[in-house]
Amino acid sequence: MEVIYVQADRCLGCKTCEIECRIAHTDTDTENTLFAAVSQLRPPKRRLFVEQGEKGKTPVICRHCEEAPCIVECISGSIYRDEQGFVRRKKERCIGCWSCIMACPFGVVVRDAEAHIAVKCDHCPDLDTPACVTGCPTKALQLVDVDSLPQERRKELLLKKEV
Amino acid sequence: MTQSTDRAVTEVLNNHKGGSQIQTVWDRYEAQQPQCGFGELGLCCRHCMQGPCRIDPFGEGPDRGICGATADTIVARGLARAIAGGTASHSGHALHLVHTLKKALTGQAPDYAIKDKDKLKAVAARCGIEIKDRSSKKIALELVELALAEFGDKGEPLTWAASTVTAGRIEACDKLGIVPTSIDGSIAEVMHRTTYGVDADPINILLGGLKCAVADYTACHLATDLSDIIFGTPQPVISKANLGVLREEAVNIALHGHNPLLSDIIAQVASDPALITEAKKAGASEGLNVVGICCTGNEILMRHGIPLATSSISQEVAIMTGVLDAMVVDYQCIMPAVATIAECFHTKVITTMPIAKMPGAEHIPFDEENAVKCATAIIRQGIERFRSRNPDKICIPHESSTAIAGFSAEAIIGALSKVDADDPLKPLIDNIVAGNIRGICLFAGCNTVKVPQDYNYVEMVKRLLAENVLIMATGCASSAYARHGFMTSEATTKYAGEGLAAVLTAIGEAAGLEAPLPPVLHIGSCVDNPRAVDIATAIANKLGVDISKLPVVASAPEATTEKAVAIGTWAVVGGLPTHLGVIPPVLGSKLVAETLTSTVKDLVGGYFVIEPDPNKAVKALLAIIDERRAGLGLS
Amino acid sequence: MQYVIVGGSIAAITALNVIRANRPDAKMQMVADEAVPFYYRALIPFLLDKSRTVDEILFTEQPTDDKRVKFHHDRCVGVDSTQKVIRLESGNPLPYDKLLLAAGSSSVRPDIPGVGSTGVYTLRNMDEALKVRDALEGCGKAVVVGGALAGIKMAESLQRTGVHVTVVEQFPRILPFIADTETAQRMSQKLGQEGMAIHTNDSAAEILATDGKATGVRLVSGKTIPADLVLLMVGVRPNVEFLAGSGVDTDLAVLTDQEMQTSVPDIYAAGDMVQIHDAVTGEDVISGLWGNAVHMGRTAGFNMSGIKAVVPPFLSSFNSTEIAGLPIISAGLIHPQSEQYTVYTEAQGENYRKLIFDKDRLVGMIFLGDITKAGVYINLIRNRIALGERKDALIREVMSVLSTL
Repeated sequence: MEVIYVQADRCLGCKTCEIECRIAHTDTDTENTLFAAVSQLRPPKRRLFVEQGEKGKTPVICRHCEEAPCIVECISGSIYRDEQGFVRRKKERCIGCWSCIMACPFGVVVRDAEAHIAVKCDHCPDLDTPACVTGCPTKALQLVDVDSLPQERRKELLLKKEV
Repeated sequence: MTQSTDRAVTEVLNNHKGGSQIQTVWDRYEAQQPQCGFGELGLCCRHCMQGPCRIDPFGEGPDRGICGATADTIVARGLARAIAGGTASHSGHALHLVHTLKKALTGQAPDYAIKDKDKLKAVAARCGIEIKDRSSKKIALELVELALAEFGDKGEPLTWAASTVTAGRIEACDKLGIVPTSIDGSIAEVMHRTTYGVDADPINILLGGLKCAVADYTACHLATDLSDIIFGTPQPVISKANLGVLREEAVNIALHGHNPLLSDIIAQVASDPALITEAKKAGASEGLNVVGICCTGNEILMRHGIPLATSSISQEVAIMTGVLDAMVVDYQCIMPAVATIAECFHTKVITTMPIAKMPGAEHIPFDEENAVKCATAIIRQGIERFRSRNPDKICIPHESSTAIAGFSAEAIIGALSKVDADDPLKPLIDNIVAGNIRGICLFAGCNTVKVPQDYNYVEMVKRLLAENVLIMATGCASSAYARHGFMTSEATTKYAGEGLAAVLTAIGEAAGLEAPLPPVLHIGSCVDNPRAVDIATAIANKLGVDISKLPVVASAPEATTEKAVAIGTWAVVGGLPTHLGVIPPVLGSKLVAETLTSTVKDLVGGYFVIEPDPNKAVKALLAIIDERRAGLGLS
Repeated sequence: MQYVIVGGSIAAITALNVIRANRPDAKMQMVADEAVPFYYRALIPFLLDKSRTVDEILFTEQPTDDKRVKFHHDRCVGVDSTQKVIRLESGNPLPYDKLLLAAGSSSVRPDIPGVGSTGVYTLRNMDEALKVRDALEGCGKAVVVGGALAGIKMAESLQRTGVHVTVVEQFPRILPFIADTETAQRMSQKLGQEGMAIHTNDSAAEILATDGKATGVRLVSGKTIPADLVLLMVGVRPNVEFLAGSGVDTDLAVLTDQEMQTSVPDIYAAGDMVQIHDAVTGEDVISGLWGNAVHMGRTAGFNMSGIKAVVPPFLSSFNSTEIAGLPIISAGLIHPQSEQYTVYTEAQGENYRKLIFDKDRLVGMIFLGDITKAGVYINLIRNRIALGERKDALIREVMSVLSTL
């Protein structure tokens, strides 16, 4: 399974990943571009957040947790794990109860108030590489095969969240 | 995060009555986190529309921009443009003074005059103008023309630079080809050479930056000279500093910004009994209370003893006391946020300059032709506003410190001449030689959200004073020391090392103060940094060595603005090792960083010392002072 | 291995899925008093206003699609732990090797005059929901007795169908378990603006009826409110009667260990018929929360499959919902009574935040309006993380998420 790997010491806090995320999730009939994204009446939501941590800058992104708290708490069957193993949200099933926002210890599920649905990282299923990874100019975000990582790194990556 | 080490500022931040929605500069700094590392490193270029381009500092992504510019080129271009930005500010400030003096001389600006004829003559003589048997007006008119020529295409070295530094400095600059022949031309040249497809050689670009910085020095010196001529050369004056100078029972009007052209007139008009009566009629039993903020505050403190409320970084905090009835601003370092904060209080923010307006503020155009009339109208706005003051929103801190200010170069020489009338510099030099004064450090620059307000200033000065380093301060550095009580005779007793204390006591007593001189000398606003150069030049000439050999250093431990970059750069060109406590956006290029901190030393003698830790910075500066003392054969 | 699971909601289904995944040889029997297919209980309000059809609230994967699972539409009426059989209402005994009790709870029907009239309903399952939906034809006014979360959600749904709704709540505020006075007041105001009438500090004394059909409700305060339809949403009680004589220990509800095993070996329990221990308040409570049921069902499922697992620390109070267009997430201790706690509140427009600390530990929170990163705060509460100097950063919303983990 290929997952997004964050190498925090490479993050410069430029937030290109946030912008690329918004562009990729722009609901437009034309091409997904920065200009299409900024000209939306309701600007697309970002699904990852560059934060100032105690040790430096870092993108905070959905881990697609093994025991995903957002799946556990979803009361409407909207959040599920897809065939690739990524945690996704079925738009039509979402009732806007925000249980997933309550559940996520990473704070990476957000509320789209206008559409009345929860929004989270879907790992860009229509792209070969998620937009944030493609956009990252310093490779702080990389797509890696989780099985190729040493045990320790793997654990760190799939931080098993007990809820 | 600690926002400020100033207790008055902290008290207002914690206890103000403006409501929880108030956002200050520190909140906005937090909201900006994290800040973009490309920008922090200087690795982002937006000079053409093919960009923006960014260089990957980790070496895996692009190592050059679309045009082919490397990290070195991009960083050098960015720094040069910052210097040009700073120089443009000082150019505008200086030119404004020249135009006004010209108007005053031709009768178009009757509220201005030549206040200090001695200074006029001294400056004119230094500039090569014949002064003997000529009227002040004639001298001044010629000086104005000479000054105006500095901004245009003069075709020869700038007078205000060439006539105020050592021969060694001129030679060093000449060798590097960085002698400017026009203030504004130097700014334009930097903009030209850093635009798409011109100068790509990082060292050559940096030299362009150094040249522009010399032009900045020229503009600053010109501004100081003209301010002194029009408004008087500062002499020691005792006043108060910090937010405690605001008074509940008075109409409080803060003057904020830089140029004395506006503030000096308001300061004069504020003593008009008719206006004071108006203020009392409005309910302010203590009448009018004009206070200063930022460098305008320094200008009117030095010349009128008007109390200094606070410095630039805490400008919003002055409004948050709830008793500021008007904030009158001209230009530079005025945060657009003041108009927003003012909405939560009754304070009227008044902009006055055609190039510096602000959404949410009232604009009252200030024209030099009707200066007193404009100033009166502005004060009346403050009085009017006093009536809508909300007593429930008042939060005035008690803190204010006594501050002795006004140590222009002339004032310092004046004090020294009380010790030795024939050879005023001798006592100073003798004590430097004897080691009672180990060295001199000029503190300049701003405050920044990246350092708790004044923390670096205070930490560094305590240690340097204990090590017998004499301190001069300008701009927000002088504001910091005024507010923290370093500009008093008591501070000499408390902080100065034995040797330094003895010298300051001797001078103080000789000057009839019956107390020591303060250990930190307030020499002016940020534009007044050349006053320090004047003193260093005098010492150097007296000793027969260049400035670059003197145990004199500079420090901008909490720098913020492009102006600070320009000043820091000319201090380096002037031969001063210059400490920066905030990391400038140059670390994306090893070459540029090394050039500024090391290579440049061999070329001009001065260089940058980049050190965020105040203790380490003090150690570094002391080591430099000792190295230079050793170079002069002093122990 | 013969697995018997009593119950048909999320705790039961989660356990079933875990056993199915871990024990390919397992034979599983489910006993539930609601007919298949299984559905999401929380979506019942959407049936009332027809914003969703029955199909749209069903589980996408039905556990009974698996041929190894045999479903009994029946009711368990007794457990014989010595013989390892359960008795069903239909009469047949059902032997088990491992038994999961996840029979849930039932609506409380207050014993007041007129409660048996036509037009009076409790509303907890799909059958009831469909009856109420039919009864809404021609209904102009409704009274919902009980202003806790379930009552308010139903009331909002009724209101969306055009019915005029009055809510009666015996506490001084609506949403007593998820809101403080401030948030409840804001919610009441919003609901009021949308036309809902709310009576707090009051309860139903009598259902008024004509010819056996409800016509209104008389309140303890003496007020009478006309109604064509009365919903009784005054709470639930765990279904534990059938355990009499089984040897399974109960207190408020069934007692289990951390592995969800009851006092009787091979008998496990999960969901809102189980008594849990709240990690923050230290109190023994019954939790009707979805996530807690999932964890209990999962833990029971693993242990029944022979894989040791223990439940995570439970919070009995953490809720998320949106009422009258205002989202609210609250957790932990939201009504601190003692001086030992410090409370921070912040209100800006429609947004309201309240944080409750026990020294440097976050023990409770309410976010109204802006619910950004609520889960980060709840994680701090659940794991009782000592914040030290980070407390201030948390209050000012500038604390890095990663430093909370």
